Amino acid sequence: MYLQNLRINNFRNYEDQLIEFDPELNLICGDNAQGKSNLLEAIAYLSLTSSFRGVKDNELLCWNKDYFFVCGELIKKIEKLDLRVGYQRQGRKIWQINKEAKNRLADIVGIFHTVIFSPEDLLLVKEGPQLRRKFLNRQMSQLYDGFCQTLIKYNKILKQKNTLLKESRARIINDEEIEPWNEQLSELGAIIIKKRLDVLTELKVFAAEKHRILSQEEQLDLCYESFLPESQMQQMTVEEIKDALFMVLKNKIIIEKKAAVSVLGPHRDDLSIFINQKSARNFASQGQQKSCAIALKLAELALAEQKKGEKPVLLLDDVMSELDSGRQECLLSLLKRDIQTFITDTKQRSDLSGHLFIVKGGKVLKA
Amino acid sequence: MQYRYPESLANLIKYLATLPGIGPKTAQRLAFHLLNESEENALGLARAIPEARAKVRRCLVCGNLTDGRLCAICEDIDRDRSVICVVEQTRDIFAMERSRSYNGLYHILHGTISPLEGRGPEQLNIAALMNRLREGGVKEVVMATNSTVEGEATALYLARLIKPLEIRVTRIAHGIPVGGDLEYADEATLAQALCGRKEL
Repeated sequence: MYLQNLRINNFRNYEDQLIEFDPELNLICGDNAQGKSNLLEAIAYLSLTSSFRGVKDNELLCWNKDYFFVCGELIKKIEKLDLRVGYQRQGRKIWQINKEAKNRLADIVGIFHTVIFSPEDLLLVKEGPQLRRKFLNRQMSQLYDGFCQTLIKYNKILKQKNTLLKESRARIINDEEIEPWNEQLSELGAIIIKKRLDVLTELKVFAAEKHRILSQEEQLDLCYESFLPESQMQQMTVEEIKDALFMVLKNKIIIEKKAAVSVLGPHRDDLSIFINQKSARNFASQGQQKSCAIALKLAELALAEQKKGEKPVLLLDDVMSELDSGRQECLLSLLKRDIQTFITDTKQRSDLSGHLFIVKGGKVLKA
Repeated sequence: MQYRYPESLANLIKYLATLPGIGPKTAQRLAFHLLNESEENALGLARAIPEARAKVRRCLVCGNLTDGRLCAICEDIDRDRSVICVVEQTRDIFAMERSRSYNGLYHILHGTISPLEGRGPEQLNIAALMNRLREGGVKEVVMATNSTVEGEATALYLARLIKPLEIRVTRIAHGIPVGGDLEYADEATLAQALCGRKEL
């Protein structure tokens, strides 16, 4: 699939801009703070209906404006879709596909599949588990219908449980009050864990393959860290995971009450990364960690293509400047020509043949 | 000087505007209507308010609204006294009654457990329910709380509380609306419906 064009209105530093894109490589160049990343953010917004930089909708508004919208035409294998996402200050968000309004996030996410690679992802190996969970959640929400909804509901229950646990500082909470939340958390938690294990089985293969090329034969391995060892959980059904999770949560009630926060469940799980059987988080060099992150992202790309039977759109936000020339070459050589790619960079590169866009002060000029 | 309504009229408008779904414009219209209305009707409305407030209270047994000590459903001798249907709000009783397929008694919780809104089990009408069940004679409790995260938690909480009394606890089914198209059902509803499938 590829994004044919994009119109951005009152979004960040763009007042009104219509851009036609190349189906393959789009290079977005310009000085700092001109709006390169904002352009990528707008594309990603159309796909995820939220900012990939973790910014609230009202902060995306152009200065002094009350609404913004982003729309574009997406060419897929068998259809052409007109996507539109709008936001009104103090109002609702509007999602439309082919002019038809959609009410739920779950109806939108997954239709325009994007893989985003930003400097944050280069910290994927080194930083805390939160980034790695986000890495899994974001791609899985796009890959599987209903996963996004399951996550939202899980978080809703979790919020209630955490509020209750916080109350334990002020009054005595009976275990019976916590159990209804644990029961619901185990049910949805088991679904989330099972799905993550399924994805990981396939992601592992792709990641190891990409990493071998990037690192000259180093061996990359991924492991899901949960309340039970991955090998054991792989053999279990959703029902069995649910029962096991409920039992473990039951035993944790005392600890959770003391901590006044929930300490166990898929929202606390992690994805461990190993290079040649050694923990990459602790032992890998900076360069190795970067190669690892690239391999994971390329694996995400390959998995999306395999699962959906269609190529996603790749967004590389300021990643090039963070990589040494060897890794830049390697990344570019691994990218397939037929995947629509957006790259932002401060320098204009002569070695890449694609459409060049110059961004200056919230305006995009086709070079 | 800007023209203002006479104080008594302004006062009436102010109170009408506090009603749910009534904005300032509608409040004005209602106030003028009440002024032009016959004495009998307008004063009838005025008298009905304190009367209802004084007389209507919660049924001592189930928590439903009533003029007397017990509500009409609890007093009805033709009802099956071995089944109690637990609902969140009084208005849920009317929904259940419209179905004409339930002939047992009710119990109204007046809310759900929701720590985020500061509501725990103590704030709900649960103690009365447990007293009813301990008195004996009840064979089944039907949980008809809403299919939300909070409604589900409340049902689960009560189920655990009631189980030791050896009373059957059931939950109403969730899934495809009757007469509904499969393709319009969302994934979560369909998944629920699949879980609760029945042998044909």
